[in-house]
Amino acid sequence: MKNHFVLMLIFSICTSLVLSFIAKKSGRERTKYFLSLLCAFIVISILASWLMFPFPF
Amino acid sequence: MENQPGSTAEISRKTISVCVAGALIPGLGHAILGKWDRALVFLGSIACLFALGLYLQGRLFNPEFHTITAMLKFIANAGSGLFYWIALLSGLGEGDSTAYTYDYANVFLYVAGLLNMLVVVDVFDIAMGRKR
Repeated sequence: MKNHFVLMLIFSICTSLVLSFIAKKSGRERTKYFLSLLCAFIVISILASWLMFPFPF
Repeated sequence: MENQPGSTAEISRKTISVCVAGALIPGLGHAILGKWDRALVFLGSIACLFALGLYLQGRLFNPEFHTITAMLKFIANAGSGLFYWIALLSGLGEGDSTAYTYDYANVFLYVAGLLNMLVVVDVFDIAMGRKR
């Protein structure tokens, strides 16, 4: 449970789920929005961690 | 002058009660309005984030207002409603700043509270008839 990627995944799923249910009405719209938010969370997190990799702190 | 639908003059006792219910327990306001799918998703997700935050040794901030950041952290934490107060009064959420997951856990706790605030705004809109 201390794996950062798994924690980030759980965080992304819970947050995307709540936001998609708040923002969209129909099931199809919600699914599409949920998947796009989830992908954005994961891709941006990996990209940010990769960009921060050279920093010594 | 007639009141527009959703104007502040039309805020009923029911609207206030569903907002208070939603603020205390995530999803309860939606459940009262019969939006069971949303209620279950909100309760499940926010409870999961909050429980994981505590499990990973995050800290719940007390209502102390020495600095603006402490105040903001308290507001974010307290957004979880009864979860926050029950955990705080039970002595949970002491936090261990040396723990490997401390920062992650704090983010889980903040976001649980902030998402519940959005959920309360959503239930307000539904109760006012601005949203289905």
